[in-house]
Amino acid sequence: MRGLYGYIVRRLLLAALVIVSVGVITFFVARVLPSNPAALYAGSRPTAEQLQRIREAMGLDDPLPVQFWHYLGDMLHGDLGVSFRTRQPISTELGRRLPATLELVALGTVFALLIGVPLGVISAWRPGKLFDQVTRVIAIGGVSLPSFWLALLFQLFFFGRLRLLPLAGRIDNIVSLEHPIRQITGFYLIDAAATGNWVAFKSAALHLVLPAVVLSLYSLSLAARMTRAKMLEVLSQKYIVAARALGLSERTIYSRLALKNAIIPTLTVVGLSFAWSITGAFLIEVVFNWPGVGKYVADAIVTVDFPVIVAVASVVAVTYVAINLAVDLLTSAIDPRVKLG
Amino acid sequence: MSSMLAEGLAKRTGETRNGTPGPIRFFRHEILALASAIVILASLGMMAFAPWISPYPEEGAGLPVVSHQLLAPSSVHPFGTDDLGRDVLSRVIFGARVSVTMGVMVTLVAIAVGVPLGAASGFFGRWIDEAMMRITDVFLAFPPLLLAIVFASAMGRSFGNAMLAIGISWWPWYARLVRSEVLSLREQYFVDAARSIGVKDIKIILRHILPNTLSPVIVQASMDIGSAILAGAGLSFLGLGVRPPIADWGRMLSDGRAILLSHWWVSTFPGLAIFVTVLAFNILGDALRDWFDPHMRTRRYVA
Repeated sequence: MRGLYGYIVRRLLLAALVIVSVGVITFFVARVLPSNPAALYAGSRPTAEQLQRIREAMGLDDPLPVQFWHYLGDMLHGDLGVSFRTRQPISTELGRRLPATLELVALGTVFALLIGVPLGVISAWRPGKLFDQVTRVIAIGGVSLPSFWLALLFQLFFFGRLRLLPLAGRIDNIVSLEHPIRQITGFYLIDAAATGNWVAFKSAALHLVLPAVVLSLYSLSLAARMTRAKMLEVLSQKYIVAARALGLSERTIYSRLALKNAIIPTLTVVGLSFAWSITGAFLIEVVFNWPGVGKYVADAIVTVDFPVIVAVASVVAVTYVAINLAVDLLTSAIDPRVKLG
Repeated sequence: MSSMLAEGLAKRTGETRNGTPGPIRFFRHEILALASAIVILASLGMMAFAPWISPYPEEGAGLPVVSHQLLAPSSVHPFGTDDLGRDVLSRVIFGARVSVTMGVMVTLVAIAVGVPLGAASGFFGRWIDEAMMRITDVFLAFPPLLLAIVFASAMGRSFGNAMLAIGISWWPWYARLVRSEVLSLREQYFVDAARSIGVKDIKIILRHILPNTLSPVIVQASMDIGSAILAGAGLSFLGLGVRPPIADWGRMLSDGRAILLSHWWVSTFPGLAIFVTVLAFNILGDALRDWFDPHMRTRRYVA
């Protein structure tokens, strides 16, 4: 199949294949690899009868393909199982926590792009000079920093020392009691602004600052480096040389010609940073006690709430695939050369 | 030119046989890389000689000292003591063993699995290549750490499991990297020449193709060790790494969280250790990549 439609179809098929394979791998790791999978779902110190009941409920004595079929079917119906610890369905809990994580990840990505891309563009203007060197150091530092350590340092400094920003949580407890936010989208900033609840808006925004900044650091560094590399690559192209020969000023070349072409990889950067932020958010949510998906999984790890771990891993992996797919399709829509790939 | 003349010229300009400038010139030019290499050697030394260089080796290994809990940094305890009275400096020194070993081992495992698979995929092509591409797609579809979390949770918390868990997500990069290198190398004349005199495929791969994929793999590996250390620290921060009382930087960070505001040193110093080590590996890797890159286009192949 040729052309744009062919590419889209192929890409969709590939994504579907990957999603099914993700299911296979999580199924494999969750049910086949462990020596006693029922014990994992039974919690601590199960009795023999409990184990047997779980074995039957999960169908662990059925042949593997049958097990997998039921597993897949459950997932597709939105039944992600029940948390061992809270005895609540996992899908409802996930639905409640997702906006919290998404708000954090979205803001982090916005920060990363707003700061990272201009850094990269300006560095490429005079490569090798001071600004470039400084940006390079920041970029390498940014990818070397353990995000959870930086989060702790921020808490120490901005809360412990300066009392400028809040320690943890999404919103001040008192504010949420006196000026509760009406839940429309689950995004505190949007909901508070939409209902004119400016006290809550301010509190939510202040609480967002530290986690979002820490989360953005890694993606920021990536964005700066990729943008710089792409700009330099574009600047070495022949048509730039031709433009120079024709007498266009450096400024015009830089802003009109080079910049446009460097924007395309920004899409890839968005996708990459979003994807990284999903798992980066796990660690940051733990430090800031953020009621999102990451903290949900982290708590599940500590209490060995296995159904939650498996369910969230599957959902996040599928989301990841969807995001990559979206980025690929968008890129192909913008850059005609990619369609042939 | 006779080979003796070529060798003589190469030695004088500081080049190795295949045209890449040798290590001495590299370190002379890139001071930052030299500093990083020194830091890395120092951390390796810390790992090897931990019991001898740490001021309180038993505490480093995990012995609690109830009378000395939570002392602030002082001349006796430069990094203070933790909630079990153990000297934090010693714990940090011992912690290097787990964290750095994890990073190195994960990368080695990823290379051991990824490079042969990638080479086979790139060399033999057709359906092997297609299959390998789909498999790497699937593994690359998992966000970093996620598969590791599921694996480590299912298989139990231990060093080996954590290492395997992270390694599973790492190998596809190397497979892809080597595959693309091999794809271009495959077209070179010396491959045809070797084939025409009857050299078997496997020997061509081992003797001619793989050595030329070495530099990109080394560059990728040196940068990956840093990321692997970070991933390992993240896993142990979540509680999935080695069990206490073995000293481990990620876990030390997590343990110190509850008392962070009142006793900042318990979490700060292990985190600093992680940062400095990862930074050193990343700077070295970055410098290596810049060093190899312009020369890669003009190098002569080891044939």
